[in-house]
Amino acid sequence: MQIRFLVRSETYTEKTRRLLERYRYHFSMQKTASREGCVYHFTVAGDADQLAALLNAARIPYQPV
Amino acid sequence: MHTPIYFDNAATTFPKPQTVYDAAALAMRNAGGNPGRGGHPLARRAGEIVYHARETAAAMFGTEPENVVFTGNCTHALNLAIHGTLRQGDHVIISALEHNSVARPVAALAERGIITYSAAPVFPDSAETLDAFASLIRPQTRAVICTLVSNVTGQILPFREIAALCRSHGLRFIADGAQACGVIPVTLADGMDLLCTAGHKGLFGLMGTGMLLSRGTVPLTPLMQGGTGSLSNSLRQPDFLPDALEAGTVNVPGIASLDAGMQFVQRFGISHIFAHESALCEQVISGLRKIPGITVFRHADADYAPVVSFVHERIPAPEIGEQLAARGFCVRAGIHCSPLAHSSLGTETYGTVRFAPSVMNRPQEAEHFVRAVRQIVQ
Repeated sequence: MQIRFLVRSETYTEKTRRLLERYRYHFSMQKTASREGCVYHFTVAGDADQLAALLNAARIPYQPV
Repeated sequence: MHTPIYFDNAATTFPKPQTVYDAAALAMRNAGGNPGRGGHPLARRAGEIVYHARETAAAMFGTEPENVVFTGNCTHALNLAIHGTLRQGDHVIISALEHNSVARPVAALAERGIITYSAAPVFPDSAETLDAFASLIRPQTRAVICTLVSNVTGQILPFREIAALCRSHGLRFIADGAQACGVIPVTLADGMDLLCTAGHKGLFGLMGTGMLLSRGTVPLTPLMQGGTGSLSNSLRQPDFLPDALEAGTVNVPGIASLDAGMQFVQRFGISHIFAHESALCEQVISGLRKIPGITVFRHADADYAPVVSFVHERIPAPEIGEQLAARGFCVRAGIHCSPLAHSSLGTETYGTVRFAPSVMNRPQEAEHFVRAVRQIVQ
């Protein structure tokens, strides 16, 4: 399953990236610059509930897409 | 030209480890973008450098990477903490050994009628010092703001006990770790709410670096608002760390150097650093105490980090400092931006000569230093 979410802070984006790498998720990340500033689009393969639990435990402020 | 022998590491450490210079140069050459701004590779590389430094600091001081706020220096971090915390009518307690980076913002707020403050005397005995702090607590007391280590005498304050005192009274504890971090074991687990530190002293980063560390649970009103690269369409400063307190472009080469410096400290080991530097201090103290007319400010009952202050009965400290400089020794002689500390010592007129070695110094250099002082005063 492909899970998509946004992170709007570079610091939390790096934290997310390292977290996903540590737990061996397959993912891609694209950074876009818009009027909202830098927005980081993550696409992750995995279970949505498990991923949400991981991100919430790490207190990462993400926005599901 | 002879290379000067540098004993002014309480001001800034020199030389830095080679890895520190290399990290700064690499950041400048290969990661010249502005982190968090733009989606291009150089901005991304810069962002990775900055985040890696946050991770290193988080591991070292016991918090999460996003709770590491990079600042220009410890003074900047302290001003963020102090102005971000205090409100009209608050009372704060500082120590009588504070550097101007604490004393001046506190005094400025008091002068404007926003706060009142009290200065707790610091005794050689920790229990007496703690009692002094406790005796000054009143209903309006909001925070204790104090140094962990005096930049003049090197005395280590009983900061864990002060943290416990603050917790028991619901007070915020803002700590100045400029002389402590990288030299004695300090983490947020010791109980401070906000730990401010320089990047360029015991952590061996370049000048222009500092940090404000917390567990992310302490709200602070930002001192500055500006660009963060996040939520750019909003006129409001982001309310999440570190962005809330990091307005503007961060010092990427400086942060890269700080990361390398912290890694150096971790590899070398804080206990080894402390032991090496303290041994040099003991060597110098022993030598100085044999010189007639010299007073060394060390008390048997107190704990000290490796900083030593001394004076001569006839020759003012600044003159000794000048003569040492002429002989190739770099020390700071004077008030050390700590008029409160010198008032406490009774050295407010001329200050003291301060010997502050680093792990880069050697015993032969300390021996030469003592010999030079002897030649100057005799």
